[in-house]
Amino acid sequence: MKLTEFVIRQAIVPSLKGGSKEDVIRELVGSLKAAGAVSEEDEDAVVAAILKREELGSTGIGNGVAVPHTKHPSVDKLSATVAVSQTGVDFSSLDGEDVFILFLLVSPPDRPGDHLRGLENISRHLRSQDFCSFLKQARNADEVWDLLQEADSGESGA
Amino acid sequence: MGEGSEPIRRQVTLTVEQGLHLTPISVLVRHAGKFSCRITLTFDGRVADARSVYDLMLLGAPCGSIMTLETDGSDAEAAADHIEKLFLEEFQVPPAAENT
Repeated sequence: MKLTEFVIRQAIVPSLKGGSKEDVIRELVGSLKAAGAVSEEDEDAVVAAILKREELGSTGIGNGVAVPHTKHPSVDKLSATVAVSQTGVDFSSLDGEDVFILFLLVSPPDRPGDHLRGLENISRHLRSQDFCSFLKQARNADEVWDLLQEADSGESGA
Repeated sequence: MGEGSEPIRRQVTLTVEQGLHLTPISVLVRHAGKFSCRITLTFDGRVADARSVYDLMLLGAPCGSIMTLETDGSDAEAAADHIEKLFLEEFQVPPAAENT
């Protein structure tokens, strides 16, 4: 499953405005709503579900990356957005460091395989310091999308 | 018991319904960090360091996956017992147990 198959291009946030973990999550879900991936009536419920998941344990996985996520019936396929923070967000990450890159995922409850494959794909690229560095340097959503496409094209049969 | 001893290998089965996603991975990484030995999980030809979130996510292991747990070092047996128990308990660790 390629990044560009589940990241919603119109929902990319190249420069996050929010400062706190909750602000950032709201901003990203708002972006998915604006892109039509999440309905307005489901927006608050999706935010609440993601925040509830964060209470179980931070999705800040280290290397300046976070993957906030939830399963929710508001989507019928894995839907994600990418965001970059220039100043860093305190996400209570596993390595104690601030987060600069976020992939927020919403997946349908009955398709855990999609969620797993999405995480697998994200981690494959985000463990690369170069990929993270280029993402942080992207100035707009188009540049972020170009990077995702380039990352996808670098795969062999994934 | 320390240098020169063989690594310990055990088969473990992942019964977490959603597969090896971030929640059980976080528990595994936290618990693996309590030991000094090398701890790896092998699935589908891929080897993951049990202390690495990224490695474990790359396994993409679904529910039902059979993996090889390998520990090697001075506390290898204790680590193998502990990690095997985590699999059996589907990584549902009571808060009190986090400090043991």
